[in-house]
This record gives sequence, C-alpha cells and structure tokens, in this order.
Amino acid sequence: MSIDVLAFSLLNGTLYGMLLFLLASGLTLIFSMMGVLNFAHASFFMLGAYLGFEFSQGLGFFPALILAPLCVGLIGAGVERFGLRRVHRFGHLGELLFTFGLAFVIEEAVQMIWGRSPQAYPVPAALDFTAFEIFGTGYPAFRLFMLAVSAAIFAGLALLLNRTRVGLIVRASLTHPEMVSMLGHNVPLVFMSVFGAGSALAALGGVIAGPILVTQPSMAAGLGPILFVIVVVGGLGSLGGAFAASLIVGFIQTFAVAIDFSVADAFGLIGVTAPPAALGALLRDVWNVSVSQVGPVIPYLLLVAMLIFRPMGLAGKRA
Amino acid sequence: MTDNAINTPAQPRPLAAGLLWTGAALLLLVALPQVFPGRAAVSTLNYLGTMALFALSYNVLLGRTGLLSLGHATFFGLGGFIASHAVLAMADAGWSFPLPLIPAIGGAGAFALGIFGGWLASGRGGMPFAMITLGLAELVFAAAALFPSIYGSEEGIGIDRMDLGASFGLDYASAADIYAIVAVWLALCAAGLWFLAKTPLGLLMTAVRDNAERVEFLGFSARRIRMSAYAVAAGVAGVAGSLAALNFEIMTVHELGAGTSTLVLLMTYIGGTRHFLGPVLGAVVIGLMKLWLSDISPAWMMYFGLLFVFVVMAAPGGLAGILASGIGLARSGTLGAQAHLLGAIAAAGAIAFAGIVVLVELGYRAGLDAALGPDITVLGLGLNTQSAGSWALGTVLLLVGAAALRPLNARLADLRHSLAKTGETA
Repeated sequence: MSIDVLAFSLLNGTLYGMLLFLLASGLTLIFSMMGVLNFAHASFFMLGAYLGFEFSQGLGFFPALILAPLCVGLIGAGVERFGLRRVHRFGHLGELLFTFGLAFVIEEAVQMIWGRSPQAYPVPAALDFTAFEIFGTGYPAFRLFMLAVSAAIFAGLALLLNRTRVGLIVRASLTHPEMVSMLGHNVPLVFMSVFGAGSALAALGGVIAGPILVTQPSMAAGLGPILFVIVVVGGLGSLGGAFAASLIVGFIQTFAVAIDFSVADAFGLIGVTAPPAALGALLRDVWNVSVSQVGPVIPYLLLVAMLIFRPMGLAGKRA
Repeated sequence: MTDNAINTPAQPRPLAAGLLWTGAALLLLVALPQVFPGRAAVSTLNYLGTMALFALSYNVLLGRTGLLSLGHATFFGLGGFIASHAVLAMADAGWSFPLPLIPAIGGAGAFALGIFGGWLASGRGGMPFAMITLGLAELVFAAAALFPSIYGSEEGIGIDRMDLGASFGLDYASAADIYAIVAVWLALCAAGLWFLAKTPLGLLMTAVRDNAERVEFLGFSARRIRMSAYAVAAGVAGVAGSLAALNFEIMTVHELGAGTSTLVLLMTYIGGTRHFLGPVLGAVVIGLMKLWLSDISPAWMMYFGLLFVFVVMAAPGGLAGILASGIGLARSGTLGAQAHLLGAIAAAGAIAFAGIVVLVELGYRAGLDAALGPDITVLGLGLNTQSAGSWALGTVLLLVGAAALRPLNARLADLRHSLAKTGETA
C-alpha cells in the first residue's frame, strides 16, 4: 500500500469512525438508561438524512443542519413518551419488539414519501471545494467539515455529561433513577429528553452523511447491524468502549476497501498461480476472495471473536 | 395445603381432548387440498404449510424460551441450501434416495449448525442474544456472497425435484405431491414440538423465559437450555427451509437474509406466542395477506408494520390471544352485558382503521406512486391526493375513532370490574 492511500485511508477511517460514534453514542446512552437497544436508531439517522435533504432543498444546507435534528429529536421524544413508555409494562422484550416494528414502519414510510430510489442530495456549494492537497490528490472540504462537526459533538457531549449539572443528573439517572427521583428531579422527563437528544444526534449524523453515503431507503438497514456490532464490541453501555469500537470498525471498513489483495495474490507471491483443481469448487471461491470483498464481513467476525474471547466487550464491566 | 399445592402435578390433559385436537388437525391437513384444488391453490397451501412450520420453530425461541432471535432465517436458508445440494449431489451420483426424506438432511444440517450458533449466542438472554443472532445472521449473509459455488450468485441454486426419481408411489411432478410431503413434515414436527413442551427440557425452557437466574440457582445451566432451544429451533427451521426448496425448486441468498427473519418474527408475534398454534395462525393470516394484499395495495408492507406495532402495544397475546379471550368471554356468560360496549369499540376501531387506510393509501399515491395520477378509490370513496378534503377525511376518521376508543375502553374496564364483583358475590 502506497503512502498516499495510507494517508487517505487514515483520514477517511477516522471520519467514518467519528460518524459511527455520533450514532453509537446516542444508542449507548439510551441503552444504559432504559436497558433497551433502540432498533429504530438507524432509522432516525435515515430520517435525518431525508429531512436534511428536504430542508436543504428549500432553505439551504446550514438551516437544515439545525432543523432536521430538531424535528427528529421531537419525533424521538414523542416515540419515547407515547410508545416506549406504554410498552414498558410488557418488559424488555416488548420494548425491543416495539422499536423493531418502529424501524420497519419508518423504512416503509420513507419509501412511501420519497420513493425507493436514492435521492440526489448534493454536497452544499459552500463546502464543495478542495480543502488541501497531499500527494497530488485533493481532499474534499465537506469531509473535513463532517470530521469537525463529529469532533465538536463528541467534545460537547463529553463536556455536557462530565462537567455540567445537567450531565450530573443524567448520569445519576442512569445508575440511581429512584434516588434522583426522590431528590425532586423528573426522571421520566430526563429519559424522554435523552431519548430525544440521542435521536437528534443520529439525525445530525444523517444530515452530514447524506451527501457522502447514498440517501436511500436501505441506508438504515445497512447501518443498523454495524451499530449493534459497535455497541456489543465496545461493551454494552460504555461510551468509551463505543468510541474505541467506532474507530476500529471505521478503520477496518475503510482499509479493507483500499487494499486490493486477494488470496490468489498471496499464493502468487510464492509462485502458485492457479488453485489445485483437485480441491474443488469451494476452494476456487476462496481463491478469488479479495480483502475488499471480505471488508463487510470483518465487523461481524470481530463480533463473534469478541463474544468468544471477551464477552463483556472492550470496556464492559461484566459478561 | 400450600405444600400439597406445590406437590400436586399439573392436571394432565384429558386424553380424549388431545385425540380430538390431533384428529381435527389431521383431518384439516387431508381436507385442505380437496377443498382448494387447483395447482395455484395447492402451491399456496405448500407455502403456508412451510411458513407455519418455520413460525412454529421460531416460537420455540420467542414464546417458549423468551429469546428474541433476529437471525432465524439463517437456518431456514442454510437448511434449504443443504437440502438443495443433497438433491443435486445424489442426482449426480445416480442414487435413488426418497425425496420426502430430504428435509431430514436439511434439518439435521441446520440442527448441527444451530448447536454451534447456539453456543455462540446463548451465553445471555434478552438483548445481547438478539444482537448476537443479528450479527451471526449478517455474518452468514455477507459471507454467502464470497462463496458462489455454495450459495449460487444472484440467481441462486436451482434443483429439479424429479431427479431423484419416484418413491412412495409419487413422482413429485405436481404441487399436490409436494403438499403430501409438507403436510406430513408439518404434522410430525408440530407433534414433536408439542411433545417437547411437555418434557423436562421444555419446562426448563419456560422456566428460563420466566426467571433465568432462578433456574441457575436450581443447578441448571441456563446457557445449555438456551442452546438446546436454539438448536431445536434451528433444526425445525432447516426442515422448513428444505420444504421451501422442494416446493419452489430454487434457493436464493435472500432466503437467509434479514427480510425473511423479519417475516417470521412478524408472523409468530402477530399470531400469538403464548399459544401453541398461534404461530400457525399468524403464518396463515400473514401469508395470505402477503399474497392477496400485495395485489390490491402497494402499502401492504406498511400495514404489516402497523399491525405488528399495534399488536406489540395493545394486544401482546396476538391474534390467538384475542381469539382465546373471545372464547373465554363467550363462556363466561357476561357477553350479553358487554355486547353494546364491545360493539361500540369495534365501530370506533373500524372508523380509526378506515382513517389509517385512507391516509396510508393517499400517502402512497402522493409519494411512491405519484406517476399513477392523483385520483384514487379507497374503500369505495373517490379521493384525490391534491384535495385537502381527502386528507382531512382520513385525519378526521382517525381522530374521531381514536378519541372515541379511549373512554369506551375505560368504560369496558369498569363494566368488567363490576361484573367480576357481582360474579364473586353471586
């Protein structure tokens, strides 16, 4: 791998990882609070992308950057207030199934409103230029902007949770909801706000990712499983673990695409150019597998490996 | 008395009732193709039978053991592929293996894979289990693209079920011959799963669902029980997948994808997880809806999703639960006193439902199907996506129905409460 590919993969991997963390952080917060993994989280990401597309058509990209997360945050708060809270009496299974059904309905609704084909969601003109050149290849400013937004949100979230009174109440509600309630805080309101804020963060991710990833109805179903891999690998409920796992998965997926190397190439190095015919069709399949083809599989392999060797995840406390 | 109550074994089901149920089920299986003859109808029956078996296997996890698997289609698909390759290999080798026994091979293969998958997935229940099954399913699905010689590429693996020759006096050319295979396997597996529920393992599964910690304290390994449930469910799903392969004579990667996993979850949960035959009911209702509704409305998937969310929120017992409470109501002798309220609730629900249908159909015509023009007929009403009146009609119907439902439900609860009181004093 040449040095320029390495540099770009590093940049893109960090960017993708930060974007994943934007979603995984909300998911992890909601999980630690309610004990429920929100299957509709990636759907809120998709809603963010579509609303961002719609608002940026009418009002421009930067108002959309504010408005779309705001709308999705309100939708998320409504979902918690009128949906999740009602199914809470049926236990965790009921809540899981509810978010699962919600994800299904949101995907159908997006197809109903915007159709099945991808939307032409362009990079905003103000950010459509080359930020810098390294090794003779330009790096788009919009990607740098995405990186800056993700990093700013990350820093803001860390400050909010660790350094403010609001963060104190949220963290206390995660571990000791009854006690916080005794102290006179409205814990259901805290839950609703965190759910809404998590949804808004996912939507923000959607608004900035929409122009780069394709804005289409399958984007939620494509990203959702990866998010769950991150949350499990990072350790359920751990923000730090989710951050590490986001970057790991981001790097894996970016580098796998960049590496053009197959099993056949590996054997070519030792002078074997064709698979031994005696070993059959299955080996011929393996022979042609390249690293970039394996890329989508690696996160799930990581998940399985993690479950076997360290079931509590990177930063989890207990199995 | 309490000591005795603990030691008293559960009331055994009267043999006569059991025989009656079995007889009725067998009679139904035999009668169905006579009542619905014709190639298309029998083909539909084959599909429904396959899905019913698939849903039954899923309920071993969801209803019996309380485990939400999001990757059950993996074993449906893998079973189907194993069966397909078995047929191809035996036809190549010129063996005469009876075709009806092929699902045993698919089932055994899926069972073996299920043991391995269960070992990975069953360390914890609840949400970790759901996520791990999701991850494993995605892993298998993503890996399938790397092995075109096993899974076929886009067009899948095709078989010719007549290649293995005739056996048991059938040549397997017609859908009716396949129906015989599906019906026998459905009856066998359903009986097996029914029996499993009565065994100590079946009871332990229920115990793990209700309180896994307690089971651990009693000295059992909850993990091994979950693993057994997972493997059994996988095996039966493999049988169902093999039946699908024999019926359609083709297996594609989509059969083991997330869509199929979602479908079986919808079928099982909407049918009802707490009744043995609930999944069968769900498979039949959803299967028929899928076949018929997709002809008349582009929004059929949306209706599935809304029905699922409704069942999760309002009727967690599913259709079987609703049926059972209806039968209980009829037997309680208080139906007459509640009839007027139940009628009003049904009417309000119908109004709200009509509002939802109007809005959804308008939505699809305004968005996805805008090319078909703004005029649309919904429930006999001529509507137009560009007229505010059409949208207002749907909204008003929905709001009026929903607003009426709330006080009616409260009154029904009050009435039932007072009926129960008078029942106690009488």
